[in-house]
Amino acid sequence: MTMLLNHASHGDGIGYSFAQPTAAPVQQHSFYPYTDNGGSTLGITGSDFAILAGDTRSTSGYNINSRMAPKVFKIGGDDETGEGAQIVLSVVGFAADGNALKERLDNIVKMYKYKHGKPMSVSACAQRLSTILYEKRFFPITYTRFWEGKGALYSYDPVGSYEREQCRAAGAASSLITPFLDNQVNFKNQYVPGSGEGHALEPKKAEPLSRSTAEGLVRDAFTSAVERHIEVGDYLQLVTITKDGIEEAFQPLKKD
Amino acid sequence: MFIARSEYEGRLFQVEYSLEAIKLGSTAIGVATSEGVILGVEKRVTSTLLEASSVEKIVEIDQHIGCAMSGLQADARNLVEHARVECQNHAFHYAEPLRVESTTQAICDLALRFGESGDDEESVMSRPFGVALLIAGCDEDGPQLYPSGTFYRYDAKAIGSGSEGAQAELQNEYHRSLTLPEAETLVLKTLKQVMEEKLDSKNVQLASVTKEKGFRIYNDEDMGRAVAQLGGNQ
Repeated sequence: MTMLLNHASHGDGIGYSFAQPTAAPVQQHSFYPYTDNGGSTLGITGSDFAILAGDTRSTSGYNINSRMAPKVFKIGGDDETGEGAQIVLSVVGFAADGNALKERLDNIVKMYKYKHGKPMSVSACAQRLSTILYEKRFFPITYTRFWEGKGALYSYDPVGSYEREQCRAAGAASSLITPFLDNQVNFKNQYVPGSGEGHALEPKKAEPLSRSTAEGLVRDAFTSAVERHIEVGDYLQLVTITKDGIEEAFQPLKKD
Repeated sequence: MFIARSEYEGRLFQVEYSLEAIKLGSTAIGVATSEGVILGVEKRVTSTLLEASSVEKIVEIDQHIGCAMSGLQADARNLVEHARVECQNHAFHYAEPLRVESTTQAICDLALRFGESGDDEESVMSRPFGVALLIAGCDEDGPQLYPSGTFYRYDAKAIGSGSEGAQAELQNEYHRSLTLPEAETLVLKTLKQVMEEKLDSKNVQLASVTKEKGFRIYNDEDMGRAVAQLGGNQ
């Protein structure tokens, strides 16, 4: 009602239904505690293994902070090398938050083993990670997507929503890698040749990948992403989790 | 600490008093089999005016864990409440049930929080709990039975005033291949021997914990059936 009265009092010119711009813009202060350190990560599971991979470049803007800043971490190992671990965590986004989160989850998994006399299952760890993230609902551990493995792969958003998945790409080059995975892992847009015409064409059925095929896809995904994304590069960290334990390998990517 | 002051010969009186309090309590028995655990308590209906169904000496801690108590009931409430919170917290954080051993550990942790608190310590309880619990549960390691306090796992255990006689009876009668109905009968038979009153379906209470059904307290119908079965065996 006051709005109407105010506008009516203008008398001259057109009466606007929205507020007129004031002369001096309001000075706003802001606090942004996060940095995007770039990089990408990718996870694929098969019937008896899970692969978690990431590049090792750390950036801020056009600068490279480090060419060897791994983002895939072993969780709950017996020593600092991560020997004996059964769970792997990968974090992209703000590297400092990622490191802090890794330390926290590692502590919790170790304490769980002391307290309950058994190693933490992946499903238990998945739920615990979700509650850790949601505890910071109003100051999220930001920009991050995370996963962990042991034949199972879970992905998260910054406030703890999670889902078990077959494969997932995240980080700077996720938009480049995801369609590639859709096609090569879930066989989207692939059909059985000669099975029919038009809608009768039979889609190719997705089936669990072999370990060598999955590792090949991961390598191809990253070499391609490096070509097109400036924040991805240097080295590929490839961690494979099987029932026998964790294997970790580094291989070079382009450094430009 | 208060308890360390007035003692000699290395005896901790405050603790011994609480153990005495437990010996005054009504008898409670637990028997673990490969199929599940049976808990049984005598209800001591001290007055004809007392409503027997209001005497609650076996309670649920979580779907897969229950406990029987002997001693000061009010103290037991604190321990049980603590155990329930621990179980729910664990389920919330880890999406899995808390193990029976861990639940027992949580109860024992609380049971030891007595004495005198220091200046910047959180306040502690002034005396030990005057209650003993039998914790029965089923988890990935199968059916288990733990008494509170000393952290040993038992196949069969009795606590309370009739515990000595009952434990001797359990020692004689227990064997590893007991079925659940046989365990029911063993619990009732043992209770019958140590109870002052004549055992009927109103002054005892049974409960079972099995893998399939979890914790289940026996209703009037189940109690009637179990007691009738005992009569047939005698």
